[in-house]
This record gives sequence, structure tokens and C-alpha cells, in this order.
Amino acid sequence: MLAWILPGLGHWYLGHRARAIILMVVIALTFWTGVAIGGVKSTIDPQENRVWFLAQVCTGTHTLLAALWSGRLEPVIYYCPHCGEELSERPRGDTPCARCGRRVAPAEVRNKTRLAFWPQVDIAVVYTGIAGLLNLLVILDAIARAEIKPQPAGTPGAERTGHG
Amino acid sequence: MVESLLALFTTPCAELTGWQRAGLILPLTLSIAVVYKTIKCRTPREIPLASLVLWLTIVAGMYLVGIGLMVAYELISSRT
Repeated sequence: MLAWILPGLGHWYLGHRARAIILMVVIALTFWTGVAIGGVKSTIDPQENRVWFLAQVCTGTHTLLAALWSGRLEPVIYYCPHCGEELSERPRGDTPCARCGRRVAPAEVRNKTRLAFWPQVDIAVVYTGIAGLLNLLVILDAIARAEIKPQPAGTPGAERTGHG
Repeated sequence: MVESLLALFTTPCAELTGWQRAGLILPLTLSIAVVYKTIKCRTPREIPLASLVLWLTIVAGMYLVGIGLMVAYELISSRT
């Protein structure tokens, strides 16, 4: 459970601190590199990429945070044409810009999509999905290590099973 | 500062060229090699070298498969 909540936490709990830090850093870097490539909106999309989402969700907190973030974001960003400030929503009438104060008409507003297309979205989904599958491997390893009884000190290999 | 850092994750990266796409296999395979060897190695001291060897093996294997497929495609397409 701990290994699912945060990759590497299971190993940390079992005393394999060095391994835990490596796993935490590598899986987090892989996941968030994927998100940076495709943008959170396209990369974490349970409706479009249902099967990949099952793999992504194995990273636990990372995917849950990203899914929450993705759900809150609008697919399109609207900008003020005068100062470039991001607008909170698409202007319906002549809305004053919060930064420069000039009125922005719906027809003149600039916009940019937050959605990624091929190949960025595919690469991003693969990165995040692989991060999840790697954490699945880590979870299974943590379960296996938890089941192995610690060997008494002095026996061959006793130091190897301890604080990694 | 924080806004530009967040924008890194909210907006997709710019169009990727073929070489950039081919290069993106390197960090992914490195992650796979490091995680696998972190689990597999008996002591953490063995992890860096074992990961490097596995990473180079995966990368060489993947690129060889890619080159092989590309050559096969070129041969087939030149005959048709």
C-alpha cells in the first residue's frame, strides 16, 4: 500500500533507504517528464486512454494529483491581445483585462490549446504508463522483501537483506 | 517563476523532429534499467554499473531492431 501511495515508500519502510530514494526519484522523473512532453490535460485522460490510465494509476499519488490537475484545467487558454495576460475564462462580452485594464472583445481574444497531438501525446502516455508499470514491479518487490524474514547477523548475506 | 514551472506541465512541448523522437528513448530506457537493477542488485553499490550495462544493451538492441526494420521497409518499398 505504501509502495503504491508513493513509489519507493514501501522500500523505505522496510529499511532499504538507498533503494527507496533511487526508486522515488527515477519513477517521479519518468512520470513528470511524460507529463511535460504531452501536457497534463492530454497525458492524464481516463476517458481517452482508459487502458493506459490503468497503468498510470500504479504510480499512486503522482497520477491522482495529475488527474485532479487535469480535471481543473480548461482545454484552451485565452490571452489578452494587448498585454498577453492569461484570462480566467473566454470573454463573453467586452471584459476588462485584469492586468492592463483594456477591454477584450470575444472576437479579438487570442487562444492556445493545452491539448497535445501525435507524436507528443503518444510519447507522453508511454512515459507515464511505463512509470506506472515500473512501480507495479516495485510494489511486487516490496511485497516479496516484506515476506523474507531478516537473517540473523553473522550469517552469509545477512548484510545484503538489511538497510539497502 | 512558479507560473513558468507550472506552464511546463500544462502546455505540451513544441513539435518534435524525428531525431528528437528517437532520442527520447534514451531517458525512458535509462529509467527502466535503473529501476530494474535497483530491485535486482544485491547491494546498492552494484546498481550504477549494472544499470549502465543494461541501458546500453537495451539502447543498442532497440536501435538495431529499428535499423533492421527500416532497411527491410526500404528494400520492400524499392521493389514495389
